[in-house]
Amino acid sequence: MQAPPPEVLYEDELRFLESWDPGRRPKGFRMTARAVVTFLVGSGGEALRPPKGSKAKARVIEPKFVGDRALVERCVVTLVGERGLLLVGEPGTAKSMLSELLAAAISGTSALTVQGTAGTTEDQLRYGWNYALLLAKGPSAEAIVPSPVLTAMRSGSLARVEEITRCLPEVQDALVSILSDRRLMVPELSGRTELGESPHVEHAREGFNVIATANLRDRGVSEMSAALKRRFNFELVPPIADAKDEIALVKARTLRVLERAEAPLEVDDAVIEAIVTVFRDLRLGRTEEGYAVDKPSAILSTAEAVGVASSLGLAAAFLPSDRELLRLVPGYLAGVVTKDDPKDQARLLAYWDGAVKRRADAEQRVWRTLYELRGLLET
Amino acid sequence: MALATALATLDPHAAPEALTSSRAPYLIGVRHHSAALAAVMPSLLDAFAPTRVLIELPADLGPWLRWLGAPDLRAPVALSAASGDGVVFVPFADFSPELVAIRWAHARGVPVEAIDRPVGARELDDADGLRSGSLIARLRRGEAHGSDDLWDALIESRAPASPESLRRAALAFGWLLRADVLHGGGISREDSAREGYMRACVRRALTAPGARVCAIVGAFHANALVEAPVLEDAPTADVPLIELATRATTSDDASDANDVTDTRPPIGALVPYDFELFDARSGYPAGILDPALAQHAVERFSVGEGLDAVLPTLLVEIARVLRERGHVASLADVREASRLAVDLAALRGLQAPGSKRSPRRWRRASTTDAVVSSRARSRTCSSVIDVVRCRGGRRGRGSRSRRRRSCASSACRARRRREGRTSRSIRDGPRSIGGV
Repeated sequence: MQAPPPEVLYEDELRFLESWDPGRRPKGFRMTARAVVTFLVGSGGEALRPPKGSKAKARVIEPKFVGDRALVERCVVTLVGERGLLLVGEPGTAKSMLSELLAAAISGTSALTVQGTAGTTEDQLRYGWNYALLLAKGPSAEAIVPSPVLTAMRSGSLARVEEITRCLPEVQDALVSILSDRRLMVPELSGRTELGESPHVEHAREGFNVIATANLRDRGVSEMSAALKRRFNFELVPPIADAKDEIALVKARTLRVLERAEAPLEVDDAVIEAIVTVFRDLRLGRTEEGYAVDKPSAILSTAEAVGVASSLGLAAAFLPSDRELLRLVPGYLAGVVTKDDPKDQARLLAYWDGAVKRRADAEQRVWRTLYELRGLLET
Repeated sequence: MALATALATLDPHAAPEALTSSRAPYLIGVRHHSAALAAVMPSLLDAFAPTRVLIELPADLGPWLRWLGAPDLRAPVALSAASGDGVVFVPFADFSPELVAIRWAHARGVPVEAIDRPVGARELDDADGLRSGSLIARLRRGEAHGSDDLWDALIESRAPASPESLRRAALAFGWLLRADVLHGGGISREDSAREGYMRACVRRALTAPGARVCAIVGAFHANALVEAPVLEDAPTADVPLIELATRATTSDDASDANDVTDTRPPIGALVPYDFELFDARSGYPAGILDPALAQHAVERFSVGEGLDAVLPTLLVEIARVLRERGHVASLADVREASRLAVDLAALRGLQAPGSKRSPRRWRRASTTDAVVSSRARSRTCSSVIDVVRCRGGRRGRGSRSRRRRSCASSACRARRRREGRTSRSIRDGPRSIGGV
């Protein structure tokens, strides 16, 4: 499998956590709220002891989501309640990863997902039809092809809707009645009884809820209606605040990418640190030393940094050469930064002439090399 | 090193027990603004029935105590005094335990005395910067206001509880901080001088026959006032106490002997004050977070209800202010915010498995998180939360003076130096709140 989902990747951790906390579980949850939070943010290095009588060994749970613990707690508590969870933020801030992990921990599956695009139709949020069966036998319960949302309602799991704001507003609003009434009407299956028409209603089981994600900065985004906004709790997922955390994360992710490609890690720590520093300076508009920087309009997320670092690693593994790896960095950076606005190239050059030059003057080897490679940015 | 070993081998109950069981004087250790203690202060004083109440207030401000005890005084107010080197403000609110005690004593005709080192006394600095204890340093790294959050968690969140258990908890907390500072570098000179003065006043009060003396001081200082302080030498109590009867003229040798730069009583005034200025974020070193919330809290605690009773009022008020500013904030939002706050507190409160703590306690942070989640516009939310929780729209009524320059009282300055905070102007304004 190229990208195993979290319920496969962390199967034994999930099973351990289900039995670890004997406390009260919210309805429909496979583990307690506290266990879900521990799954996401880790156990802080301490080994968790299983309850008495269990033969399992004590385990340390690794953190999977690098961020504010309070954010994770709020997300879990939101999912216990009556409203859906909407994760907003810049691209590359691990919103989708967070929603996957939450779904895997709470419902045991993150597969009930609808990817929102401009072409998403209402069928994909409600139900569709098996047209052959429909024509052969007429409308019946077996002819219905349930959407992931309907499947989640029937099984009491979490449904995920990615990029909900990319769907057309009319399609988004199909979720309004599902979220407020927790039922779905299927008029085609309504029957006739002695009392009159009886509508066919699908009710949601306990444990059903919706996690949606939305990008803040995108051109093809439709406005969410106020009615739909009211049915979600908004959580802003910010970019990683601490530089050290981000560097550690980029290194860990790069290592994983390279392991999957079966290439040994060749990228030097100093190179990864330099890449992450450039990204953070340009993202925040301010260098580590405190000088102001003109921010480019491109999004410089942690995910992009992981991409650059992994590409460097893969290049080192599969296209070995005598040249230093650092020579490839400006090329990748130029590619990442100048995605939208042609003026961004000028901003990147200004950053090079400002912050990077200052660090080069301060005799830091990596930055001196990077400054000498300025020519590669101008192509 | 000897102190460290002594601290390590000390029975953990010994010091709090010594402080709690002391009857000469009877000690009530407080944080200067604490809703929980303010609510139980009348019960504690009724139970002990003192004949004299001693308050940690500069001694030369003593004449103002009868104005503070006046029944038609409406808090929040501040006692301001001009002394040699500036203006000093000592704020009081309904949730200040000292003000509650002063009012209690005034209503029953029990004499109240101010026993802290006078405002006119020379300021003492330590030779080198004092290292604060490791606990305080670690708390400050983790949370913005150091020991305040720990006090909230250990004492404020217990209310409403039996008065004696709160008093015991407060004294134990004061001992904890004191032990930490003793271990770190020792008590500062200014604190020692103040404690010496306070001890002398306590000894003097105890000499009266049949006296039952109750001392209400910051919990940190409680250990210095007992008969035999735990693990410390008692500060020298033969400190000359100033007499405030007349505005006598100074003489040079008199000021040297008394260690007081100005024996005349300072010019003072009782001024109306704002809740904003009680907030630690305004630069007031002894400040607390969310004074308006503390006001609601003390009103609830006094009738035996918990902080839960405040939650609906608070959230409805926030929604109302949001609507006034033109945003949508419906009953559904308030309901969801309320549920979120309670559930978050449950999730955060029940940390240890099998813990028997009830999930009904919630803290300031849970409401902020809850409100911000249920309303998408976080910047508006933060400012509204600030308005409702800090300012509260209430203003005290005091006397006619209008001087309002910002300067902290000497007591607060000492505490600030002890905790290593840098000074900040009161005009800085509140920092942004909220988890987002």
